Amino acid sequence: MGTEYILTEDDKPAPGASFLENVIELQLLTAGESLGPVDFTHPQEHHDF
Amino acid sequence: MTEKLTLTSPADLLAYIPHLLGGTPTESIVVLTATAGALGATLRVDGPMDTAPLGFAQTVTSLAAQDENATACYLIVYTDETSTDARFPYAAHVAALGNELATARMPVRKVYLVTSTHWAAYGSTERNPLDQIKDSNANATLTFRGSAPNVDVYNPALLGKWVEPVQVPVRTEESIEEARREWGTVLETPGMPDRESARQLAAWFQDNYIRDFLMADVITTNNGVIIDILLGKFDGCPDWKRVDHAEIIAFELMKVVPEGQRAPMLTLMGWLQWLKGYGKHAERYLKLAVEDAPGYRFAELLHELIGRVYIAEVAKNQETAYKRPTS
Repeated sequence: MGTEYILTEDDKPAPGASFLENVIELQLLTAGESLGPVDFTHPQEHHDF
Repeated sequence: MTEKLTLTSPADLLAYIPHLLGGTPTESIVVLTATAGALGATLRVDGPMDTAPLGFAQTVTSLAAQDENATACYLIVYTDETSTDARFPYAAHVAALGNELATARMPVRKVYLVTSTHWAAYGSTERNPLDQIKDSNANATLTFRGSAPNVDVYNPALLGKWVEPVQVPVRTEESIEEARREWGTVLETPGMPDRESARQLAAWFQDNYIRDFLMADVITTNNGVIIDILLGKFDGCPDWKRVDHAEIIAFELMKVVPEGQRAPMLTLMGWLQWLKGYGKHAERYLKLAVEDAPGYRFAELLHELIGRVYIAEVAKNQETAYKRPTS
């Protein structure tokens, strides 16, 4: 059984709606400038250099 | 246990990057953070194109500063853009980046240039063969340990051309529960679902509302808050084996539906790549999703968000970030 997600009355979806899409739209309102995608990784070995 | 890798030459350093990023960058700038004697995080951004040098440098520096332990860094410019001066591509941006990184107490130790034909110390006239990178000790060691820089789940040659479309299911409370239960079972079961199960799952993925639940259910350490799940802010380290498994299953589901119905799975794959810290791979999947189903809103929005130099929260922290599997 999956997680019970927290949805308020306002979160009740319209037909065909997607809460993840709505979240991204909100996030885009405060997102930075468009420089393209970023890769960000961490070392998986200890390195001497 | 963390294994030790000794890098003794620039070629070693340049060989190490594709293993971390899952491929050799092109038209990119890479910042490798470092502390005394050891390397830290690897940051890759697209080449600056028309972006002003100072703004570009400030943004990249703020991203590199996610590694709070860094006390220095290396810069690598990957480009074939040598129209102005072959030795100094993106000169103004590199200079601005050097200033900003120094101000942030991460001074640049060395800058290297890698093109499709050679590599060199940035600004020098040397043209070292790329085979030096391929034949380096670091590449041999990492390959021996099972690291493969170009492993790719997505293989379009395996996608069927003559497949019947799946019927988009009617969404009910019961169908949502059933979809999540079936998806959970498949995620917890080694191997791939049979064709009938795969088509049923692919059908559920066609419904936006159900798709959102199925995507969130990949992460078992989620806290139930949708915005946190989407942005990769989880309770602890995700089960990355489950994430890898989900990505492979997503591709399996793509095999059993025709063009036009693959976008939800491609979007899932893009999101998972982004959670792993691979924004460039994520972008590729999201573009494929929009090609598959023009106007597919989730892929378009996620593509735009990721393009605004967003790093998933889970990828920022070394303790929770993705660890690539080795064979």
